[in-house]
Formats: sequence, structure tokens, C-alpha cells
Amino acid sequence: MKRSTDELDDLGRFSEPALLVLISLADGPKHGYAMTQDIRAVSGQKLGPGTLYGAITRLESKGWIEPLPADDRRRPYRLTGAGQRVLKLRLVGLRAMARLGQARLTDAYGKT
Amino acid sequence: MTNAHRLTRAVLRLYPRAWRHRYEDAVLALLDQDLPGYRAVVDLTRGLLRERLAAAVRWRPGEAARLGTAGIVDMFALLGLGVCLALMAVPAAARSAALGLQVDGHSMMVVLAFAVAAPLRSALALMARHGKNWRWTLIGGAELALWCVGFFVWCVASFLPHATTTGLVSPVADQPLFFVALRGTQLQLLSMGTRRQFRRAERLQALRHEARVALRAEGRRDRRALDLS
Repeated sequence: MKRSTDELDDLGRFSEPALLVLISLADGPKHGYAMTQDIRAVSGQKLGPGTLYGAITRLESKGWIEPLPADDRRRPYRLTGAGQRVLKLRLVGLRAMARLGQARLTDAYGKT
Repeated sequence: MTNAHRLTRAVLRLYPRAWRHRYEDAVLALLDQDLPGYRAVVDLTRGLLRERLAAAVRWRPGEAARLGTAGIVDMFALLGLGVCLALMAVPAAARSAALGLQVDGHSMMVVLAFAVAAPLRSALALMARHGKNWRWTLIGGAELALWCVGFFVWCVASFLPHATTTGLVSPVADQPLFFVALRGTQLQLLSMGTRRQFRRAERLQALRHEARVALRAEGRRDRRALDLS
């Protein structure tokens, strides 16, 4: 599989939380609390504040998300164009892996 | 406000200035809404270590965080090992004492080697400047000397039994000589662990140096982002 230069893997141990944040923002801007609630609903994972804002810090430094004007103390974020491209690339890769894994399982162990 | 909530706020105050300027209000709003427990305290503490270590190497936060975290874990592991070994030395010395604990000269030597030199060396590993550090030579030499003395005594007492009766090695004659060689080996293992830590600290310093050089080349002095104060 061809590696892109903007891969989420550049974020090291933040790559999975960063992916969850990008997916959460894919349907519109959200602030921190809304992101944690959305991520918990979608993936079952609860991101702590240190992990969440560590991922947000790194995504912002990469230019994949950007802040919107603060609403009281809460600051919403949204995906940038570059962030959308990175997310799309990663999801395409994951979908290909899922299809491959499913096909191998079917070949090896029959229809699951 | 619960104790965990107070702790999270206290940990937040330790984050780098630039980070707090940007994110503190939002994190506080999140904490006020989500009522944190002690897991949030641990999560924020881990985040604090990462942000503190990554502040100096903005474009390589992954490597800096790994180096720094590994160095801190090493330091605590070696501290714990040092304390455990020192505690082992004391009962060994007290074996011949009638009552209570009695630390003789030999055991005190071991206690100083493990319980004092080990954490001192670990702290120096994290603070080591780029390039050679004379303190390392001094401590490394002292610990190597301890190992050599211990090993020499063990050899003499093992192969020249009459040496113990003449008082040549009497300071350690009442100790199981096996422990002398064992502690010497432990000292060597401790040295290997902190040498690795020292190399990590050197690499971290090199990354900070590259960060400073790059920022000067860009013509910016963003001291708040680097948090070099």
C-alpha cells in the first residue's frame, strides 16, 4: 500500500485519537465536550482531556483542523481541506484492509 | 468541587505557557462539563509530560516524547532498584548483629552506591548537556572503583582463604562473600541501564539544539512556544 507524506502515522501514539477526532469533525464543527461524547457513541472509547487536546494540538499544528471563534470558553474546531484529504486517504486505506481481511477469512474459514 | 477536579486543575497549571494560552479555557470548560475522575488526572499528567518534552522540538514531538518518557521511566525504575538493593544490603549487614539493624562500613558503601549514586546519576542523565559532562566521568569512575574493590575482595577471599584470618579483608570477612560479587554485578547492570538513559538524554538535548538553530534560521524567536525558560 503506497504511503502518503501526510499520513496520520506521523502523529505517533496520537494517530488513533487523531483519527477519531477527524471522523468526529467530518459531519461538522464541534467543541471538545461534543467530540468526546460523539467519539464515545461511535467507537465506545472515552478520550481523556489530555489525550483529546494532545491530538487537537497536533492536528492543529499540521493544519488539518482549525479553530472557530470561541463560544463562551468552549472553542469549536472544524476540518480543513487538507484534513478532509488526509481523512479520506486513511479511510480508503482502512476500507481496503477490511475488504482484504474479510476476503481472506472467507477463503480460509468459509462464509462468516 | 471534588478532589479529582482540583487535581486536574492543578495539573493543568503545570502545562507550558503557550499551550495554556491556547487551550486552557477549553479544557477547563470540558472538565467542568464532564466531571473528571482520577483517570482524567492520570491522562492529564501523561499529556503534561508529553507537552513539556515536545515544546522544544515542535516538528518531532513523537521522538522527543518517546525519549523523554523512556528516560523518566528509566529513572524511576533505577531509583526503585537502588532502594530495593539498598534495603537488601541492610539485613545482610545486620545478620550478625544481636538486635536491630546495624549498617557496617561495607553495607554503607553499598547503600551509598545504590541509593545515592543511582538517583544522582539518573538525574544527571536527564539534565546532561550536549557533549561530554565531567560529572559523568567522576560518578562512573567512583562506581567502577566500587565494583573493582568488591570483585577484588571476593577473588582474594575465595582463592586465598588465609587472607581472611590475617585481617587483610576483615571489613568484609563477616559478609557472605557471594553478596560482594553479586552487588558488583548489580552495580554493572545499573551502569548499563543508566548509560542507555544517558544516550537518550544526549539525543533529547541534540533535538533541542536543532530546534533552536532552526528557529534562528527562520528569523523567529518564539520563546513562548519553546518554553525554554
